[in-house]
Amino acid sequence: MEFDQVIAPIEGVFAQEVDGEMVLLDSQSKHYFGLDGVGRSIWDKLQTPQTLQAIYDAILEEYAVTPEVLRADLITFIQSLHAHHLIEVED
Amino acid sequence: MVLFGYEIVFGGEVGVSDPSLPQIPLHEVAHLEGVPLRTPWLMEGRYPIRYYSQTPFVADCPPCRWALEVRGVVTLIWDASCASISYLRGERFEPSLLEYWVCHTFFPLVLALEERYHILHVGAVAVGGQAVLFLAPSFGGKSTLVGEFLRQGHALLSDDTLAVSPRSGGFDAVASYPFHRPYRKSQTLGERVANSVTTPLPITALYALELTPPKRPVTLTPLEGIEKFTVLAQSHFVAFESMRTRQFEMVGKMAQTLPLYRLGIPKEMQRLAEVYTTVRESLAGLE
Repeated sequence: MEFDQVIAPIEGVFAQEVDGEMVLLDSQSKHYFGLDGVGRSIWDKLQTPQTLQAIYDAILEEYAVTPEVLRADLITFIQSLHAHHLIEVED
Repeated sequence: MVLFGYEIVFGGEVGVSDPSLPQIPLHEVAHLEGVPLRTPWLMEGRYPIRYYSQTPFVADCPPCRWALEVRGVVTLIWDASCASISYLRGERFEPSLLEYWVCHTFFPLVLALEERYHILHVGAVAVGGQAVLFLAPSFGGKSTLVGEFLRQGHALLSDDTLAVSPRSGGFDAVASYPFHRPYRKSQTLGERVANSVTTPLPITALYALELTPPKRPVTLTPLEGIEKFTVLAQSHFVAFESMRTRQFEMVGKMAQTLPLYRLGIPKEMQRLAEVYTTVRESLAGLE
């Protein structure tokens, strides 16, 4: 995954906020996913399509995390969202 | 019998309880017709069942005609064009089994698929003019706790399934059928309950039951966020794929609106009164 790729939620993904946490419905598998904390923050940022770099920069500024850890975790997280049909990745 | 705000007259019943309620005709047929699609055999608890339908089950467009066969017992057919139930006898048919499968399984499915209500697998009682719901899997203590509330003088809404309908600012509970079955004899509705609710009541709180060892204290823990959503999502009576999106939205709104607690219940019948008191005190705190 490249950091200049644009990430956006897939149209039709259903999301519900409960007590500050986000629950998502995979429209294909019909499975639920929960996002809290940093995951919720990333999802909120994705509501405006932007590059992975922009998301990385925003999270790095917002949370006390080392760049290397954030880079690895962010890629893993975005890949998981993609695998579960919750986001699309554009070149 | 009045169930979920409708009247269905079973054999042996004379007249209707309440002519103001919408009537669902029930009649016997000799053949199963008009439902060419069929599923493989599935298990509903210990009972093999299968579905038939006129058209595939898809979101927002249930088949006009579909059926549920309980192997060897009965096949129940719903015809949406005339809102009626017909049935075909199996070799082990008995009138009591017809009543059981219509009330316990088939009519709740009809209501869910027709999107008239959301159907939850919960016990429910009336407390102070409002509905209190108990969530748990089968054998998780719902009927036992409902029984304690009945003994304490509260009215029954549900022992097993409950209809829920959105209302301004919350949700209404619509009672299922006036029977309570604390000891699980199979394919029976249980004992008829005289003190049962007949009008919709606003839901005030939900309790997810967790059985604990007998000597543990009774515990009450508010649930929030994803955990709250997950517990509520597990309480749906049926989870056809075509219904998932609508159920997701419904569960989200319930989670946003209603308090849900995890209620730790020591597995000791003599301490049920203590559990009852804990629930009553928590409800008083919501007022």
